[in-house]
Amino acid sequence: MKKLFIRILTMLLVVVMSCTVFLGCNKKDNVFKIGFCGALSGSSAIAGKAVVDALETATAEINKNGGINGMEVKIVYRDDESDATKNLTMVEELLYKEKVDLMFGAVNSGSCAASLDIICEAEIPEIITEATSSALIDVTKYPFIFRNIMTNYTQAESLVETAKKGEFKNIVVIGDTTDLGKDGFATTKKFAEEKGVAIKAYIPYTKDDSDLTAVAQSIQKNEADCVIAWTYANDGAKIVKALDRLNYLNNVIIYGYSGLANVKFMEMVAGVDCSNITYLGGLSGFALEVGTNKLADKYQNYYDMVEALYGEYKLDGSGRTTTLTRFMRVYDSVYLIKWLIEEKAVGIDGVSLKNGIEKYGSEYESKWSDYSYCYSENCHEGFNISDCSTLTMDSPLVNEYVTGDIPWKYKDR
Amino acid sequence: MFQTLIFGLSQGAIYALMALAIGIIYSTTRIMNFCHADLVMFGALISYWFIQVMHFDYGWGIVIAILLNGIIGIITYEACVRHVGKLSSGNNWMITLFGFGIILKNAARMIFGDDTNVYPYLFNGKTVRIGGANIMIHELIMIGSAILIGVIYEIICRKTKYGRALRAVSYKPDTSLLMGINSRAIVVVCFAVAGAIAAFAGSLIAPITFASYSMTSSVGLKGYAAALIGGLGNTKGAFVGGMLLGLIECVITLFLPAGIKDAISFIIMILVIIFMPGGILNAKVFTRNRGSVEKV
Repeated sequence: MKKLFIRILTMLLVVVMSCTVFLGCNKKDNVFKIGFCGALSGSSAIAGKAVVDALETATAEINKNGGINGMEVKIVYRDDESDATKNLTMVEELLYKEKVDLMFGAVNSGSCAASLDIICEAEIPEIITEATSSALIDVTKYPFIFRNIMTNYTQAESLVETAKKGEFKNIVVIGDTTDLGKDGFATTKKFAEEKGVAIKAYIPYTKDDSDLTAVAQSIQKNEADCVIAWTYANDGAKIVKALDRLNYLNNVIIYGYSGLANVKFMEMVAGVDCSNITYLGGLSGFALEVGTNKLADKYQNYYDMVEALYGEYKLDGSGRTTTLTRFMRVYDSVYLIKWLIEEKAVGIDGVSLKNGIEKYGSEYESKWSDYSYCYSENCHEGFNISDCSTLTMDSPLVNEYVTGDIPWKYKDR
Repeated sequence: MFQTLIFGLSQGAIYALMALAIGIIYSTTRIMNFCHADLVMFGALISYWFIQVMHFDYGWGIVIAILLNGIIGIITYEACVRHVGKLSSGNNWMITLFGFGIILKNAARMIFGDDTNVYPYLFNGKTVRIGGANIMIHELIMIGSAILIGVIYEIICRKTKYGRALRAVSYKPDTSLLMGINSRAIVVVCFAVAGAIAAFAGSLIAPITFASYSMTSSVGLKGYAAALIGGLGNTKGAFVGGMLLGLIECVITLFLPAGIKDAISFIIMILVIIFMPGGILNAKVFTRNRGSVEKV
């Protein structure tokens, strides 16, 4: 009797344990999970927050309208503090514990790169909307990774082309010693050679160094009349101020990569004339033509939506920090996935989603761009180069619109 | 070239202020305060908060930061140094001080946020022209402050009863105790003073580096390098080491890429340690006629 009882108990235990294992393996019923692991603290937090803002807005809207094919959309996010090691650990958790169906890439290239392999191993598609390193996208090596932002590669081509048009005598390139600067130097050199543009000097510096006067002195020493800047806003501001101290700022035009623009840049360089400083922007529809004060209706509606949700943008950085372009890249990507699943009947497993993006991505009518995505089987860089524009740093406040975060397109000189 | 020297001197003043406070603690305890850079950062953020957020007067913001950071300096001693056993034979203080630095950094992030904040310059960043070079009044004050604090500390050490007690504790802590000197009180005061100087230094540095929890990540290490170059525990050494480091960095980057500036600083530090252990001002050529008790 005792033996029978023990046998029955053992069998019951095995059955219960098997059920819990299978329950754990089961996809969360009727939930489509989107994961994001990126900087939500530190100097890159503005970008990370923008991703989260956009994900929350898109998913709230979608869920309000019945979800994706009836499935509730949930976001799970983690702060990797711009640390590649932390990113890897947290992404593993998102993939295997949270079992996300779609990932959005980290905002820093280094952190992003850390988890590409495990994401592809898990066969979950990832869309990168912030990190710009050229090495992140490789259709063969990372078949599940897509991107819809201007890359360093695209930006380098655009920056070199812009510098070439200006017919400058002495072009120098500045960049920090992180992956950004190294990538920037390499891609700029490549396009400079292709387009026959002579670069006088490449000037590296240590990111976040307290004193970047030496960079400004090098620019002056090279008698540069054009600077291609692969710098973030903090360092860019220090260099601009140093150039101003050396009374050299008016002698040079600075073409910055997209990361130079940060909501606090103008505050950091307060008192300095920034009319010679520009940065590269994508989503040209969200930039005003010089002399205008309203976006086209399509874009103005989204601007109004973002402002209603997240408040007024203020030049001193005390208001909304999420900019329209950052927001829309993510927002539109969530709707792309929804469209693929609902309109193109793409399956929700990772492989189907990946194949769907490749096959149908270029047919999707983007909410933020007049140009279609460039996704295909051989191209996972969605950004359409036609969308690049050179933007002024000092944006106007016009009438009742606080359009401080909608830059003017650079007036040709 | 004169402009370059001015840049070097102002950068050197930053290093000198940091090295001085590191030296003050070393002089009494023979340990390196590895959380000093984070104390500088914390002091800067406290003063930023009072000046920019609470809209206190600039001067009062710095004074409050100095007082609060002095208290944090005492907490540093009580939490990380006092109970770790004999400092001369153990190394536990290294871990506790590193750990406290991490605690300070995270506390700063929680209290003041992650943003990089623009800290106002003294006199609104006005510049004056001296010898063809533009120098900010803020930078002049930085250089002057480094000199003044060094001089005041040197006077206190040489001419006051407290200074004599401090030198005695530095030279022979156990003997000082036997002679009735309250060694612990001396050390506590040193930590408080170092914390106060850290806050003052942070308030001067922050307009240049911008105020954030990571503002001292690169400049902090160089404070230690400057202290080692000049001579640990030596007030004059801290000043000389800091200024020299700043000047050498600025001049060398005229000829070499700015990206290797940090490496240059530490190469100099290593060379000094190899050829002049104890620092430049403790080298034999400078201490020939000095009795051992006067090295403090």
